[in-house]
Amino acid sequence: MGPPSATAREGASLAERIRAGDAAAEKDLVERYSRGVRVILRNAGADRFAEDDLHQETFRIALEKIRKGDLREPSLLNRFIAGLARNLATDHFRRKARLPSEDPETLEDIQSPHPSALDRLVDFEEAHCVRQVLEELGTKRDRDLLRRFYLSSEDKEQICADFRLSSLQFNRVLFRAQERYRELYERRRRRRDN
Amino acid sequence: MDQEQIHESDLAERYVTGRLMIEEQADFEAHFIDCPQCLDRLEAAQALRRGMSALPARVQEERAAQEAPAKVHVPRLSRAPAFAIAASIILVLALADGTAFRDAQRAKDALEAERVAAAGLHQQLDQAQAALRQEQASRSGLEKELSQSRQPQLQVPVFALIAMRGDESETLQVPSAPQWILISFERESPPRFDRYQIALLSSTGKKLWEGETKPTSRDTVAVGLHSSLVPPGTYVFQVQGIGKSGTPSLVARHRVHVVTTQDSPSSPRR
Repeated sequence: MGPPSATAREGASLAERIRAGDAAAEKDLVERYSRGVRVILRNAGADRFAEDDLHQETFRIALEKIRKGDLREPSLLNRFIAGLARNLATDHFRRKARLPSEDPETLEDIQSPHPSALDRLVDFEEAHCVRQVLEELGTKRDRDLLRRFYLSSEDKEQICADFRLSSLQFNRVLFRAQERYRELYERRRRRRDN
Repeated sequence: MDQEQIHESDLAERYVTGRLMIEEQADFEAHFIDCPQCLDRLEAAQALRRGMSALPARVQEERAAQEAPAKVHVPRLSRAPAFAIAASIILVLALADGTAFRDAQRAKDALEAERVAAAGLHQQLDQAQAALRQEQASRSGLEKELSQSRQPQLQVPVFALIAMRGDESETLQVPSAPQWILISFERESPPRFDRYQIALLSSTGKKLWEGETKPTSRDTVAVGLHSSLVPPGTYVFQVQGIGKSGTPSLVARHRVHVVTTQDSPSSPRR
């Protein structure tokens, strides 16, 4: 991977400060990695509640290990936090798959399989935004392309070949759709929060 | 990892859609976990994917329906304005540079190629559907036949063939409906063989069927044949005894003439 990057050096410095008992460094660590950890957890399939729990657990364990000096290579702090988040998510789903049990204590941990009201609201808003993005994309080709890329497991090369697109053109369509989607979704979310 | 490389290899989108290898995924996670640019892109991609999944099936169907070419509604115009518009269009087109025309031509060619491909696919689909219908009809016939053949046969026509001299033939009146028939042959006297090889030959000597069997009783060897094996015509049954050394010896040849009848089968006529 070559010489340590600026990111690696910053990570190492952060880990050293935490180990030295600097409380502000702990706060910095959470701020620095919070978004990334959430992306990893969501990608592993965590719903909103699991995401919050696992997010908290990731930082609890990470800080505990760094304080104790269990992080052997501080320059690999990024890799350590990312791996920890992914492993916790994997464990979470493994445990969830083993449930349900008849033990009343574990029954308390079982979440309803139905989406919460908040989940339903967000799903509705996301679906609405997607609908609008699809409308705005204008061409049938772009709409089909997005559907196939996001909802199927087909290779990108295959999709490009079917649509007679270069990789660059394909990326452009994806990027445009994502940007527009984000814009619409943020606008709706702000309106809801206000 | 630099942003250009990430953008070109669409790592973010491949990550979100689960298209990365495990190692590639771990490397990318270690990079993006504190990279605001990548996180912006990843969050957008995750949200879009989630939104696509949350899109109700009904909406997806609506979208699919929209894939059909839409009818273009052209408002009716009185002759004079329409004429003026047409003239303007011609003028604009005449002034436009050749690029637009070439682009339009390319698009037209691409559309035509798509149409040809679609027509080819339709034809293949029609052929596949026709083959499927034929296959289904054939299967249905076979199932019916199988079902009939599994029904118990209460009356089994029995034909006892006895040794004849010379080229004399016997006539077997076999019911026209396909069914099992039983044919028995006289054994040699005194019996010398424990096993027999029975062969059914066509009038030209071509072997149609052959099987080995043991004596049915002290005096006879019998075989059951399906009547579909012996449509009306002339046949020869050849009976050979198999000695202890395994060498076959001719015991009898029966020339038979098979005819079909609607009535119950009768005994061989000479």
